[in-house]
Amino acid sequence: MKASRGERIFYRVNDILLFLVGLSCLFPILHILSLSVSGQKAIASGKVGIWPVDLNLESYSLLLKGTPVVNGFKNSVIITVVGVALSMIMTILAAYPLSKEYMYGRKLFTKIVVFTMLFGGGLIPSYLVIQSMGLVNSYNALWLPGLISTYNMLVMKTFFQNIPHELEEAARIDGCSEWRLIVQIYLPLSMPCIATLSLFYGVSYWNAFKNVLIYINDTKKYNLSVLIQQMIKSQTLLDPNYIQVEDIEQMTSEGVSSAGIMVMVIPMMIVYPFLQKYFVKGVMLGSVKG
Amino acid sequence: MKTIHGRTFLCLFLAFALMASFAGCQSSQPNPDGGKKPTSSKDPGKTKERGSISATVYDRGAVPAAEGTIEENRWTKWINENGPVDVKFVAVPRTESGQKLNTLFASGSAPDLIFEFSPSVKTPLYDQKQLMPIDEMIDKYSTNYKNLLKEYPSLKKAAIMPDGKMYQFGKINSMTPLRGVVIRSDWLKGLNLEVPKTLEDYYKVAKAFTEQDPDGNGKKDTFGIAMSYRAGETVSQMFQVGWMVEDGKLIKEWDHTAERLKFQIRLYDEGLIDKDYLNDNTGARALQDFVNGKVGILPWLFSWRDFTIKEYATLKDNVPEAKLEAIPYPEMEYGRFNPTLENPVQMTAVVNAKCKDPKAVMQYVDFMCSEKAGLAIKYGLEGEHYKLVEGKPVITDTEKFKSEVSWAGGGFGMLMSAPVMKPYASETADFNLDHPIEKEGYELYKQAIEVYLDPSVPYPELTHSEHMPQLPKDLNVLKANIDTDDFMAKAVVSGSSYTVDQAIKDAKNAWEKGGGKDIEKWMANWYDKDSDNAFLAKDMYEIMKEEDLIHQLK
Amino acid sequence: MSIRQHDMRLAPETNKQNLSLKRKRRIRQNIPLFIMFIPVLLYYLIFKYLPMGGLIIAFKDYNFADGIMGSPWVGMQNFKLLFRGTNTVNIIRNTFRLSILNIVFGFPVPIILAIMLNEVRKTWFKKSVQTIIYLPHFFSWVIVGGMVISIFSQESGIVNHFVEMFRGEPYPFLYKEGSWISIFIGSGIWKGAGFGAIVYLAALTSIDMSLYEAAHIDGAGKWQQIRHITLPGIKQTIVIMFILQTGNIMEVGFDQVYMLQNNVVSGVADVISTYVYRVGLQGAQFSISTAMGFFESLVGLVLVSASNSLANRFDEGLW
Repeated sequence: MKASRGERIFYRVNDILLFLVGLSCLFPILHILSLSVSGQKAIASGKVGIWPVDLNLESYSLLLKGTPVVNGFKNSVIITVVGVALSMIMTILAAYPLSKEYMYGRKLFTKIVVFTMLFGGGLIPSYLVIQSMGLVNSYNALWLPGLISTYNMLVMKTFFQNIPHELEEAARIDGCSEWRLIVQIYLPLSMPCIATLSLFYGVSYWNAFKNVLIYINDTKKYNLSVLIQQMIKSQTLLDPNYIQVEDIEQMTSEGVSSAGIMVMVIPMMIVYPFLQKYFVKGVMLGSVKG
Repeated sequence: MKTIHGRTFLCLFLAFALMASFAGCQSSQPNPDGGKKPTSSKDPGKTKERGSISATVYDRGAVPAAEGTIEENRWTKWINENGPVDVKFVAVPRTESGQKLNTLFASGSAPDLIFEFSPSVKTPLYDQKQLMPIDEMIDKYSTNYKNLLKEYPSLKKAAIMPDGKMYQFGKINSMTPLRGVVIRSDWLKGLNLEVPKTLEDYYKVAKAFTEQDPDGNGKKDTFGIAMSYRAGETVSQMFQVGWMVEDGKLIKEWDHTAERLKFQIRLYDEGLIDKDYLNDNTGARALQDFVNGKVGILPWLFSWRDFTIKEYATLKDNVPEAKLEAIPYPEMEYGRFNPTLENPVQMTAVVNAKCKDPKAVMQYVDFMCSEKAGLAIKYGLEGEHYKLVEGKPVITDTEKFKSEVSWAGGGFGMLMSAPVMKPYASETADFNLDHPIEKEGYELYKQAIEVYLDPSVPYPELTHSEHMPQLPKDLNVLKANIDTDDFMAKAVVSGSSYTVDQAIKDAKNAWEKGGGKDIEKWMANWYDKDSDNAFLAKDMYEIMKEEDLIHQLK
Repeated sequence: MSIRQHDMRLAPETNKQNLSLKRKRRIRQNIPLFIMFIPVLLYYLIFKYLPMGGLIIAFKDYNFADGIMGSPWVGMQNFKLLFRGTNTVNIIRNTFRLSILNIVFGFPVPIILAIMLNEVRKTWFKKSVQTIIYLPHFFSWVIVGGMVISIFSQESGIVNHFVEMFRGEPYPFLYKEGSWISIFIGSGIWKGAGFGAIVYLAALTSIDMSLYEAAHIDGAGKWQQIRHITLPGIKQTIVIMFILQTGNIMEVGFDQVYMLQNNVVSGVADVISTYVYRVGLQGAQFSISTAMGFFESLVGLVLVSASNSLANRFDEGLW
C-alpha cells in the first residue's frame, strides 16, 4: 500500500515530533546515569550534567558492598513475580464475569467494586486486619491486600467487552465449555491487555514502598524500593530540628543513591520492550473472519 | 429501577455495617506481640533467670551487607552475650520512624523500649497513655543510671512530662555548636576587610564579596552570602525570631522578624544572594556554590568533622588557596546571640506502657550507659579494632573499623553519655591530624568552640527545639493552617510593590485570624506555669559552664 | 438476533416455555461466572470493606489506648477543625484548580501520543521511543523536581539563558503564580504521559486493520482516518479512563507539590496533601487525616457518579 504524499509528510512530522519528545525524556536518565558513574568531588561541585565527569564505578561498588542492595533486589524480584501472577489471576476472575451482560447483579457488583476505589479505611484499620490474620512481616501482607487493583480490573473488563459476541456464540454452538472459552478464545485475544496489566502490576509491586515499610519488620526482607528511598531521603528530608550528628555522618552520597536509582530503573527499561511484542495489531481480525 | 436503587443501597449499607462490626471484634481482641520474643522469665522462684526485652533500633541503611542487618549483627550478639538481659531488636527506619512507631503502637505490637529523638513522636504517645513512667524502675532497680542522675539532675528535669513523672531516659552530650557561620578568610584578606561584627558589617562584606571579584577571575560570579534552606534558618537565628521573653512573659515578636525581612530584601535587591534561594528546597545549590568557591559567607548547620571531610575538602580541591574562619553571629541593636548548640541533655528513650518486665529494661539501660558498653560500641573490641595507648584507644585498622564498628554508635549508642566516656575521648575530637585537610578542619572546629560556646552571649531561643513544649492537637491544626512565611517570601521577591510593612501587617493579620492568639495564650501560660519544670536555655548554659563537658582539646 | 425474532412468531405457550428455558439457560451460564467471582467478592469484603469500617475514626477522637471502637465519638468536630482555618478554602480551591487543569490539558496527551506512536512505521524506532518516554514516570519527584527547578532557575537555568537574550534580564518563572502553575502542570504531563499512553496503545491494537484499508481506498486522508476510525475504536477506553480520573480529582500528588513549591507561590501551591502533611507531621493526628480523606472520597464519589451518568448517555458507562 503506497503512501500518498500527504501521508508521507504526516509520517515525517510525526517521527520528528516523537523524536523530540523522546529526547526530552532522555535527559533525566542520562543525568542520573552520569551521576552514578562520576567522581564524588565532581558530583558535590555540581559539575555533572548529562555526561559523566571523572568516570568511575566507585558508586556502584560502594552500593553493592556497603548496602544490602543485592538482597533487596532479590526480594523485589520475588515480590514482583509472585505478586503479578497472583494479581493477574484474580483480576481475570473478576473482570470476566463483570464483562458478561447476562451476569446477575452485574451492575450492583460493579458499584460495590468501584466504591472501594474511592473509599478506604486508611493505614491503621488495614494494618489491624492484616495483623489479625497473622500476616505481619510476611510478604503475604503485600500480596493479599494488593491482589486486585480495581482500576486495572476495570480496564480488563472493558477489553473483554470489546471482544465480538460472534466469537463466543460460535464457540458455544460448537459446544465449548466456559473454561475453554476463556482459555482458548478470550485470553489469547486479550494479550495486549494482559501484557499492559502485567506491566502495571509489575511496576506497582516493584516500586512498593509504604506497604513494605509498615508491614515488614525484618530489614532482611526489605525490598529495593525501601532501601533506595531511604538513601535519597537521608540526604534531604530530615526535619532540621531533630537532625543528629550520626544522621549527617551516615548520609548516603549522591553518587551512591544515583547508582541505586539506576539499579531500580534498569529492569523497567528491559521489561517493557519485552512486553511490547504483545501489542500486536490485528489479532482480532483473523479470528472473526476465520 | 427504584427498587434496584433501594436494594443497592440497602445491600451496601448492610455490608458496611457488617464489616464495621467485624472491625470492632478485631480491634478488641487481645493482640499478639509483634516480633518474636525470646521466652521471658516469669517464674518468680528462679531469681537468677535472665530477663528479656524487645527494643527498637534506628535503621539508617548503613550496615554493610557482610555484617548482617541492623537488628542482627556482631554488636547485637555482643550485647546479648555481655549484657544482663536478652534483647530482641526491631528495626525502625530513621527517616520514617514516626509512621512505623505509630503503626506498632496502634496495633499493640510495639517493643518494650523505644529509642526516638523527636518529641513530636514521643509526646503524642504520652498523651495517648502508651508510655510507662520510669521513676519506679529507676528507684528500685537502677545502679548506673541512678548515679548519672545524681550527677546530672537536669537529666531528671528534662525527663518529666506534664503529669510530673519521669518518662524518658537520656544521655549527656558534650557541648558542641550545631550551627555557625563560616567565612572565606582568604577573600577578607584579599579585599582588605575585617571580620564583620555588626549586621551592617555583614552587609558590607557581603556586598564586597559580590561586587569586587574576590576570587580574582575577572568575572562577576560570586555571591556574598548563602540564604537557602539551612542558611536561611541560621540567618533567622541571628535575629532572634519567634518566641521571646519580655518582662518575664513569653510573647511572639514581630519586630525582629521585620528586621530580618529588611535584611533579606536588601541582599536580594542588590543581588548579593542567589535569587533562586527560595526554591532551593534541599540546600543543594547553596552547598554546590560554596564548594565551587562562589560563596563568601556560609551560615549553616554544621557537623564539623563531617563538613571538613566533605565540603571543606571539596572546596580545597577546587580552590586550593581557600581558607575558612568561624565567625560569631552579627551584633544587632538588641544584642548578639549564640547559634544552636547540640542538645547537651538529650532524651532518647521511652518505655512502652505494656512492658512486662521493667526490671529487665532498667538493667539493659544501666548496661548501655556503662563504660564497658560505650567502649565496645564506639571503639570496638580491644586487640581487634584498637589498642590502648596511654589509656586512650587508638584505632589499629581503619578499614576494619570502618566496616565493622563505625555504624554501631548511631544505632546502639543512644544512652552513651559523654562524661562516662570522657577518659577515652579523643583529644582532637576524632579529627585525624595526620591528614592535612583534617588538621585545618580541626583548627576551624577549635575556633568554632571558642566563638560559639560563650556563656556570656545569650541563646536566641527559649530552649533547644527538642525541649520545646508540644502544642495540643487542635492548636496544632490551627498552626498548620496559618502561613506567615508566604508574606515574607513575597516581600523579598516583589521589590517595591510589596513592602516590609505590608508583609508584616498581612502576616500579623493571618496569624490573628487563624487563631494565633490562642496559640500565644497557650504558650504564655506554659511559660508561666510549667517552664520551671522544663529544660531551658539557662539550664543549658549551666552545663556549658562545667569544664567537663567541653571537649578538652589540645 | 435472528433466533429471538424466530421465537416471537411461535405460539404463546411455546413462547413461555422458551422463556423459562431462557432463564434456565441464563442461570446455567451464570454458575461458572459466580464460581469465578466468589473469591473476588471475598477478597473485596475482607481486604477492602472490612478496613473501611475504620472510617469511623473520622468521627472520633481516636487514640491508641482506646482503639478504634473505644475511642470517644466527636461527631463533626474533626471536620470543623479542618475547615475552620482561614486558609482552608484556598487550599481546597488550589487543589481543584490544579486537578482540573491537569485533566483539561493532561488527559488528551497520552491519547495523542499513543496515536502518534501507532503511526510509526519503523518498529525499532517505535519500540525505543515507547520505552524512553515511559521512563520519567519512574523517577521520583525528588529528582525530577530538582531538575525542573534547575531548568527554570533565574541564575543559571537554560530557559532564562534564552530569555535573557531577548529580555535582558531573567524571568522568575517559579516565583510568579501563572508561570508556576504552567510549569507544575506541564512537568506533570511530561512525566506521566508516556506511561499513560500504554493503555491506549493496547486499545489501539484491537482496531480492525481492514477499516483503514477500506478508508484509504475511499480516499480518506490521515486526519479523517484518525477521526473516524482510530478515535471511535478506542472510545470505550477513553471514556473509562476519564471516569476513573475524575475519581482522583482531589489527589494532587504530594511529592510533586512538595518539591516544586516555594513560599512565594503558596497562595496557589498549597494543596490538601501538603496541608495534611503539615498537620500530621506534628504527631499522630489520625482522626484529622482520616476526616480529610473521607471528604476527598466523598467528592470523588460524586464526580465519578456524575461522569458515569454522562457516559451512560453515550451508552458507555461503567454501570
